Amino acid sequence: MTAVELEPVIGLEIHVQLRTATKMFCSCALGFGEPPNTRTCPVCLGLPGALPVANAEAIHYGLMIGMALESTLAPISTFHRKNYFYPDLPKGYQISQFDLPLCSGGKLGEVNIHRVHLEEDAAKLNHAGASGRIEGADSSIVDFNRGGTPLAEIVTEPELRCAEQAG
Amino acid sequence: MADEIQSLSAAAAAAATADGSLDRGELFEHYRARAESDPLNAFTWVAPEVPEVIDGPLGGVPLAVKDLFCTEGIPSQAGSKILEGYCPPYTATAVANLEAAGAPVLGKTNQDEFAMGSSNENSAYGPVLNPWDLARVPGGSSGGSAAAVAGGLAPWALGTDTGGSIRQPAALCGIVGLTPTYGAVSRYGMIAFASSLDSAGPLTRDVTDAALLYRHLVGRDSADATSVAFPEPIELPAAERLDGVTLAVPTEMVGAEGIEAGVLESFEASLQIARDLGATITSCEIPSARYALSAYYLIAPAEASSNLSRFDGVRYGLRVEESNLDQMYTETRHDGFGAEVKRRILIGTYALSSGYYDAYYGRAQRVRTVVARELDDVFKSADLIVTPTSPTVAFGLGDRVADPLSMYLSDLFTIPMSLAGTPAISIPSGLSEGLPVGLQICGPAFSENRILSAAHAFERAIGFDGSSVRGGKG
Repeated sequence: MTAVELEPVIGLEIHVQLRTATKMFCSCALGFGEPPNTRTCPVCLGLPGALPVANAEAIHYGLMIGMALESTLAPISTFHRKNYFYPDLPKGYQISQFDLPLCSGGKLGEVNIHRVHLEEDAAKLNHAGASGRIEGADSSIVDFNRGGTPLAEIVTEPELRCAEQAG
Repeated sequence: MADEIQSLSAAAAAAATADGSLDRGELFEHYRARAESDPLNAFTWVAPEVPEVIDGPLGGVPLAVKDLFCTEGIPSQAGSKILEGYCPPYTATAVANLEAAGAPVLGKTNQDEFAMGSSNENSAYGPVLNPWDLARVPGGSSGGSAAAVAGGLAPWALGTDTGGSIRQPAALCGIVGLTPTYGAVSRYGMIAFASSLDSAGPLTRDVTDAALLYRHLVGRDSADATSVAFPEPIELPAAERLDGVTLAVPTEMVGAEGIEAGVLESFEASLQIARDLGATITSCEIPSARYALSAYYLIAPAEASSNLSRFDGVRYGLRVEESNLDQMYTETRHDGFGAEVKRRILIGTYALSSGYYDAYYGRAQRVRTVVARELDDVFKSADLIVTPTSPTVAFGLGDRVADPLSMYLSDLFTIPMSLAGTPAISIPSGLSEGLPVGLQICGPAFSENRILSAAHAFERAIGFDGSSVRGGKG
């Protein structure tokens, strides 16, 4: 039996939390380590009837990232909903970007960048049980403080060839 | 005294409280007692006592509010079991605006579940009855609001329209219903059905009341990124004639199959009245109107399938306790949603799924753009478009429940304007076999003043009297 030779082909999706004053789609202040569910509002809790309003500062930061990466900045960019069910996703969808991202192309050193887009972070789940994971947990609790934090997702082309390079 | 209060339109009641001849508390209690008696199942919640009433241009005239508007601390269930008992921590902007202008909340009205329906038979809280004939539907989805106003249980009401849900029940109940330009009224706090189509508007006894309420509904809201400032103030209409007004009739639509003879007769009579008032009647075509219904019944369910994902039993509303997450989701949504809602979620999810997105949702959106452009073209040479509001008068309870497609046909005349986001009003044009018929008057975006003015002239000439059903004198 000969071993099959495989070569690593790595692409990275890097999610960067943007240090804006407020969340991506509401005016809750960003924070870390606060008591659970104290940085929330109807919008980031996904309450019925709540509506998102885009954070201009986050868009500005996203564009700055694009410029730093020598990307093409989109003249028109749209948000899309990524629909799935999970308890850390209060609306049952994540507002993200699909076919018209904020920035396209670009490079960082020798690595080519595919795109940069904006989206909102999910909330934080804590599972009560031996493993700390959802499987076999007695119960889970959700802290929505993080939910709605602006994220810039930087996607590289699948060109990285080894783990060290990816790091 | 009760009879006198009952005879007052909302505007007249507001004037009476302003000059001191009518006590606000007495006015509220008069309607509160009627709402509580509720022979029509129009209300899902009624204020238990007279609230502190804010002084304002709306004169303390109590307002019935469709249940899908979030009202802080008050059940807001959108006609669904999945939100049974849910009390939001905030109030919808549209409601807050009206409360601040002096219209206190009288009660929350019954509706088709999540605004999906044309008969108010899809409510988890029982059907609403049409005050003109208790064996018939009031229309939907704002059936509770329409029946409450028509039946004299509330002086005016707030409803929502996505494909016709203000105009069609207004027509079936013989009252006035105004659907605004999309974006003119904030949607913040409106439990969402289809985000690109949902619109809040007044249901009232007459056109003046509609204008008065609408004036305090419009305005840019920073919490709703799709809301815009109305470019001019809303006027209280005074027109008595239609001289110089060109009304276009989409002849192919009006000549289609399935429109009751009595409805057509009433429509023709309205056109004659228009001519007598000095209007010019022309005919127009909206060639893509025949596809509007299909486009709508792809777009709206698609958007709904996503908007209703938040009802998962995790944070609020019904939760069916199960031993694992998937079971909890499935059982909660299975038990909590009614049949029509499930139907639309399934259709919508399918239409948005990978591989089908462009063929269904994408194509439907393109049809939508074509319909909007065709309407724009008509308005280049006509001031307003007129049609019957509904192809039929109120149908019997249970008549169409087994055939969803026949139910969807109720929205034939209202849907093209919904797709285009343009405003339209329905006013009573007469009776057919004892049941009300509605006349729909449509205009381009932000033409509400023009629409209200024409509606006022029509209303005066038609002289429809709903007092036999509403109580008080006409």
